[in-house]
Amino acid sequence: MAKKNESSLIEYDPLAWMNTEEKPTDVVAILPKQAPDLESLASDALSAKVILQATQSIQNVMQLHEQLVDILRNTSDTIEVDASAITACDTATMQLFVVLKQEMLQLERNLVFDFPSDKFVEAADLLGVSSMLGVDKSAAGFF
Amino acid sequence: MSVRIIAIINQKGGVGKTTTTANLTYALAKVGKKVTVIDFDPQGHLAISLGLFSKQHVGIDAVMLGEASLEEVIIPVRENLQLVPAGTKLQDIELLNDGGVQRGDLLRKALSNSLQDQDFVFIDCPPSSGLLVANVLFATEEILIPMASDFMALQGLSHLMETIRKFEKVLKKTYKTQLVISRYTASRRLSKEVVAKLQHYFPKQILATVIRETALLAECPSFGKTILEYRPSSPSARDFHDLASDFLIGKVM
Ligand SMILES: Nc1ncnc2c1ncn2[C@@H]1O[C@H](COP(=O)(O)OP(=O)(O)OP(=O)(O)O)[C@@H](O)[C@H]1O
Ligand SMILES: [Mg+2]
Repeated sequence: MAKKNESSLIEYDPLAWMNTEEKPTDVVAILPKQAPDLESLASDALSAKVILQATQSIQNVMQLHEQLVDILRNTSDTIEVDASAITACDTATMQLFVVLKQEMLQLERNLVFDFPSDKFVEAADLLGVSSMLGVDKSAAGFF
Repeated sequence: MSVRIIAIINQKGGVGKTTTTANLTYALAKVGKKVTVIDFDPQGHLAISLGLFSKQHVGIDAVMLGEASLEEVIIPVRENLQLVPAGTKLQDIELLNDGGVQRGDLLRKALSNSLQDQDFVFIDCPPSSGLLVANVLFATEEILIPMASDFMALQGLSHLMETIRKFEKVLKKTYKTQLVISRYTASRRLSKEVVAKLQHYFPKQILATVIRETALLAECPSFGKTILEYRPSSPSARDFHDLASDFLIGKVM
């Protein structure tokens, strides 16, 4: 086994959770439930949807964080965030999305923004993360 | 002694599930074990790998749907080795919507009290984690996970282990879980690190022989032959011969 200080070719260890505490597993139905889900399961891509409130700020970012982590745990491969209602979105929220997006890509999952409002795109642009989050102007123009 | 049912499972595509199933089961049959393989992937690659190039329309799908008996759909493919093809409706079963928990129990029921004259039943799973794989996890107690030796394979394994743990909890059983390194590129340092990582998390659960990545192994499916028939004296044929013996005697890393 590779020693700690030897330069390892594996930085992130996806299996680390196995020897620590068990990942929380709900005794939810282990079978897929509805037809749309099943279809996406077949192609190995469950998705879940989050609808953002008009104002996203440091006041509600914790709540959003918890909601997203919860979804992440519950086997969704893709998280769709509906950002159509956004009229104001602060840096804390954007940072959360950036970290989540990076993490999900590492997990071979994805975070996508549906119908990003102009304000949302503007906020992302301002922080230079709009292309990273996949919310460029052209997409926003439709809504 | 009742028949052992082993799922060759990994939701990640292209890791060597079908290659392992075809060659390992042939190697076992060759040493006299009675083996049945189930092609549980709607793609039907296992049947092709064993030389059945024309599409088999009726198979395990019909048995699961109560339209045929297992005996009716079994095809002898080699001495001691018989195949249950996928059948055209298998992909519909993946999308079955109603029937509650029953939907997950179709394969177990289809196999119950059958094949009692066999030593092993191997199930070649599809690269998904939907209802078909759920059916396999209902039906088996034993799992063999083929692993490539790259980073994304580790990521995929993490996902798979989550699924397996979830089923273990809900079905209240513990699978006998083993791994086989099915696509090992010896020239890469990363391969060694990946295997070391696996040994850390799966001590005494990795079959001792690794299957090396070779051109010959990629060639043989198009001839409908296993490597032991296609190039019996090749290193890859030896790999599978040794792997079969590891499997039988429980030789692990
Ligand atoms: N050890 C190996 N050396 C060279 N080629 C290999 C090896 N193992 C598998 N292959 C080739 O890689 C491809 C994928 O392998 P295989 O079909 O066995 O994977 P799989 O996990 O069953 O894929 P799927 O997820 O699509 O069912 C095939 O073309 C196969 O011939
Ligand atoms: Mg396959």
